[in-house]
Amino acid sequence: MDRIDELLDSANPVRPLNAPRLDARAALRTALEGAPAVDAVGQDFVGGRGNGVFGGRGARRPWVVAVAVAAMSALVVGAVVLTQLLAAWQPSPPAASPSPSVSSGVTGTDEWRTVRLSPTTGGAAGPQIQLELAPGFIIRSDVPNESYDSLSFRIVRDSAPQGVLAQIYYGKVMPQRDPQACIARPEDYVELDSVPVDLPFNALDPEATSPRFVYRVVTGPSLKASLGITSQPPGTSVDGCTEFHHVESLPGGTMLIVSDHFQFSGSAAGWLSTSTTSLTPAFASLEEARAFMATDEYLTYKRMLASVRIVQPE
Amino acid sequence: MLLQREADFISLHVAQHERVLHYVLRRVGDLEVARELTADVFRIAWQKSEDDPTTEVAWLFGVARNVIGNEYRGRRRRRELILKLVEGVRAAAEPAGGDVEAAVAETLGKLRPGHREILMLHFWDKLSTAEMAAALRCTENSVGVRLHRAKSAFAAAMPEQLKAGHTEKAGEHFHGQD
Repeated sequence: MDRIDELLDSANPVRPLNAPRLDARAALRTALEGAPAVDAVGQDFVGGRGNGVFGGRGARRPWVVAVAVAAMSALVVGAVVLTQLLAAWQPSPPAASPSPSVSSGVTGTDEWRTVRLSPTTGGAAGPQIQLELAPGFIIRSDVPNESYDSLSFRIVRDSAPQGVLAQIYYGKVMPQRDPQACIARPEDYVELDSVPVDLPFNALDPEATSPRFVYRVVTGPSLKASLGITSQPPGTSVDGCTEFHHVESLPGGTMLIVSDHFQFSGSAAGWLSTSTTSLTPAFASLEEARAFMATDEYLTYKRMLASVRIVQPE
Repeated sequence: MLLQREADFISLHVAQHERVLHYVLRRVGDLEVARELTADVFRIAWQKSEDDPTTEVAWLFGVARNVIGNEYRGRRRRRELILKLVEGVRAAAEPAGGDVEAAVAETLGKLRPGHREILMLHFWDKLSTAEMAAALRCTENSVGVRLHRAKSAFAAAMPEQLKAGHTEKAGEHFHGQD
């Protein structure tokens, strides 16, 4: 815990030692019977939930309130049990964490092939990342040190023009990030292609959609291609502080990143930083960006990235 | 026999009333006001449960935030909240440690509301990342980013007296877990 954490933690004005204890039954009665008026719940929160539900005091229905209050005592014990049952309900259990180190690089061949990326330590019990790899491309481990507890690989073209196409990260949510990356302003983009991919995602997250491969063109001073897999719904801008493409909150509290804008910062192991190194091209116009979709280069990138799967070891 | 809706609401109240009360109390600094506003939160939850029942504390916190906003509309009224925050922190601190805690609260008061809120949600209300994401209606990744920015803003705004020393005293207070 750093200094700021200590300070903020210690300044908490309501802690177990000094927190007020109120009669929950009386509080419930107050909640249902005699609360002061509130005009409305703020629009920023209500959103699409339906404002009509949140009427003022006049919207209360006394007969329903009376029923609830009268039966409250009889239900307290049952409610506690219910609460415990609800608390016990959880999404699927956490998957085994990936081991810190990975198998050696997959070397290039002349044909497309399916590769599985798995840890070399800790056995093969954990999930593996599978993808199709095009001729001339190889996989390189991108784990900065052995203590790093998530998996990371780069898809690299081993023949000219050499370069990094994308990073694949699979591990815990919210790795540390390079503070410098947070200086960036949100960037606007246009989404030109989208293909569903068969990957798990957190369907309970209201902001998540089924994972899909996307081809976007980041607009701004220049037009630059951006490829990856995302569970975010289509939009028009992306926060430059976070990675451009990711599937968040997979079962087990893990996340998957397949993106050409996401790399480790080599100077600070364990920190993640947005990347500026990529094989994906820049364009002079949106027409040129659209035309790129018809090229073999694009179709190769798309096939590789859209083929990423999380699989169990055979 | 009670309707399922009523049973669910009572369960929600039993499970979350104290957390919501503490959330409100940390922000308004007055127990009576906090009780009234917390009652409002659950009244709204009850009304809302007819159409869309929820058991999420994050949703309740979101309602609470807006209820507090309704109660303290206007710049002068919001300034009152900041002052109450400082007073509340100072009063809650042990006698010898009030200055540091009050300085922390004053620094919080200088921050943008969004920064202040996420720091309080994380360090005081002890919301998980998922709960903060739900309360703030953003992704868990965004929560991480916002928290990082808020801590940076706090570090930039805090006075020299907080930047060094007092480690032992701060450590003594680190037992406040909700």
